[in-house]
Amino acid sequence: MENIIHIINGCINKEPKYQRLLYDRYRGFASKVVFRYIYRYEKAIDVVTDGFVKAFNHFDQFKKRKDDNDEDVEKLLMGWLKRIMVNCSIDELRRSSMLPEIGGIPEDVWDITDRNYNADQLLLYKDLVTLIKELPPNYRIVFNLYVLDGYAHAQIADMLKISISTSRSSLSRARAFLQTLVKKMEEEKLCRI
Amino acid sequence: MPDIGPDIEDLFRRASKDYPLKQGEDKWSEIASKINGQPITQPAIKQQSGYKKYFSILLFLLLFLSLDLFFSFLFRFLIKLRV
Repeated sequence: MENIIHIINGCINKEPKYQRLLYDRYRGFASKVVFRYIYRYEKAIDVVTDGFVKAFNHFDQFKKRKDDNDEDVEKLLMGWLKRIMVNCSIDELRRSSMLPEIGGIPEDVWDITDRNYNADQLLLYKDLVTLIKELPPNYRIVFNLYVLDGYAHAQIADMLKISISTSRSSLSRARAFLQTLVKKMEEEKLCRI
Repeated sequence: MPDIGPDIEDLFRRASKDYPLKQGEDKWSEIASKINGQPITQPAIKQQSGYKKYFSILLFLLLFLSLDLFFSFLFRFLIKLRV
């Protein structure tokens, strides 16, 4: 397996072999970031593609310290890639004017075969992500940015061109909405038992 | 089922990292063509289809106008014949 620092240096030098390696290694991670923001799976995969194009075109902007070990560099790289994917997702949502989506998520987008987790846990995670996607787009973005991706309200306000108070109120509405959805989900599961 | 009451946000954080999403279609060839500076043909196709659309609208208008002229002459001619 190629060392991450070699891959990064290859990408900085725009070597296709290393760019391909990086894409193969992180496209699953990137898809999981983008799919939380973009409702449609096919559109999310397109956004991931755009994100990688952006990343490869600006790889010289990725900053790593010389004395960092592989693990630290990988964390930095994943944080950098995540920021790019989040920005691309927000651009895409702006293009579609943040209109609410209709129709459900097809079952064939899920892969419940990961041996690192038990099936119940994977199903629970799948259900929770589906709940996030049920939020109206503006609440979903703020919840994703603040709770899951660790942005501050000032940053969110700047990214979405809204006020800090709007960001705060969207978050509290998203939380309330999710609490209701989680309660409903629990009740449905209890009914099935 | 694990308890989802006490720290709901922490559970959502874990779910957001480890949820079972398929990797999807491999789009490496599209990425490679874009990062090597080769333009994607989609805008050209769009322009062509836009041009075709306007051309067909123009043709339709011309056809409508010519039919209008033809029938107005025809009616005038028939009226003259009756008179």
